[in-house]
Amino acid sequence: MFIEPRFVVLVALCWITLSIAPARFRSHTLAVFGVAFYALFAPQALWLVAGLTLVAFACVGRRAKWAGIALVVGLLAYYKRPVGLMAAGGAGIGPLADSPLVPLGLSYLALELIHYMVERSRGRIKDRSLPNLAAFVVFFPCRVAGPIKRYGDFTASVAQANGSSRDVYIGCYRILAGLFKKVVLADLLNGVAATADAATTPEVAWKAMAAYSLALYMDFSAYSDFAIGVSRVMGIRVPENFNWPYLSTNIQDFWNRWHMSLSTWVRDYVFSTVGRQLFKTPLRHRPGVIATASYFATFLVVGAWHGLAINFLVWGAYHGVLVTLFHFYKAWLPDSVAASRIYQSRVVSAGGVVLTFALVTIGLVFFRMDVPHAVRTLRLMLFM
Amino acid sequence: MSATDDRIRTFIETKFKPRAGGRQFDDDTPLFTSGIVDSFGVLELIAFLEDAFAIDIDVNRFEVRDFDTVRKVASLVATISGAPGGH
Repeated sequence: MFIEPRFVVLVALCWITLSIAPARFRSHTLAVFGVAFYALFAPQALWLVAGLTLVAFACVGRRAKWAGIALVVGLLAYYKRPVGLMAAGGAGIGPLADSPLVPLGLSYLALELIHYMVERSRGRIKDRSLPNLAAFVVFFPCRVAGPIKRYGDFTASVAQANGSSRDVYIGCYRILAGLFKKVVLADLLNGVAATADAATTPEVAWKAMAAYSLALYMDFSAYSDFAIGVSRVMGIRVPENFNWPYLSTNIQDFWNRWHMSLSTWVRDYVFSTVGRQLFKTPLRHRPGVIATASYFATFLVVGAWHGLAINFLVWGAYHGVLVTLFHFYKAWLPDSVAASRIYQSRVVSAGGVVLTFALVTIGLVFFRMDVPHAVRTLRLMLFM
Repeated sequence: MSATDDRIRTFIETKFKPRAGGRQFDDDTPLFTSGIVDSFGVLELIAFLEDAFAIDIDVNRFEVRDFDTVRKVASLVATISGAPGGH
């Protein structure tokens, strides 16, 4: 989509309009071009997006907030439900963009709307501007595959946007970097990854799945580069999504670097909420139980957000197990060991990087394949 | 330096080992952004503060950055418990 002529024309027209429009009409401009984007690429989703925007705007007060959140979550669950091939978690349904059954951008839109309703209810969003909300909701560079924005940061960035030549330069550079990742690296790696389905030896399975891990990163970070780059051309800054995730030395570090706009969202609205509520119960004196429950709830939500198919839930639960185990490992590791020169050495760090990559790659088997195929590939990879 | 600061610092030093690996640690060392305290650690810190200082922390009013240093945490406790100024 990002390299389609009509998308490029839309970006150019939006950039020109933003450059000449008075600052007070920036949000109106972005909202109009966001509507134009939906009219061009997904006209059938336009009414749903418009309706949800109005619902989020109107949901003032505690009960209305929960009603709004229930509506958004219900719609997302409806569209993410397993249907036909999706029930088996068909290959190719990934985190980059929604499947054809889901209205364009709804997965990302849903999280942004929930964020808006929660923060307004908390009093952290005081702005009651419908044009600002509309610009936030339909901001088209981020509508397909994120990053997931935060309302306050976004409106502040729109207000400060000045369309400098430096922004255009940095944005174009970022778009070109994304293009290189997508067209050269991801496509090259996807060719190797495609052999995973027919793998008959552990070596081939590992090679194909390692290539898939890298291809997924290249693909997804390329989409983020496009979104961040196009936004920056307009002078608007949106959150970063990746920070060299495959250099992570442990699984917690990985989730601090992978799909960061999603991981911070679930941290703020799932993990902290669940954990905080559990700390108010008699479990307060059993923090290990609270940690386990909070991590599991969080990663099941992450899995379900990618799709309500068994394989995504297994993938989420797998990461819940990994992060929980790492939590206890950190707690139980003796201070003397953690502080030792050997533990702090580059060799141990490098070992952590390799182990984390292997663990993430094993999990991605369930992300890529339906459960029977995933089990077969996993048994192959684990020499079982 | 107050008794509040001392209790908070002692809890963090005992629980999160901020000096591990030869790291420097003082009242202005970032806790969350430096990785000393993780997301769950913030929840544990809040639970400790509520128990130790008999306060109720409304998380809707505060953000993670409000807990990012010993000094900020002590200031937050002072604000909630109505103590003058804190520091």
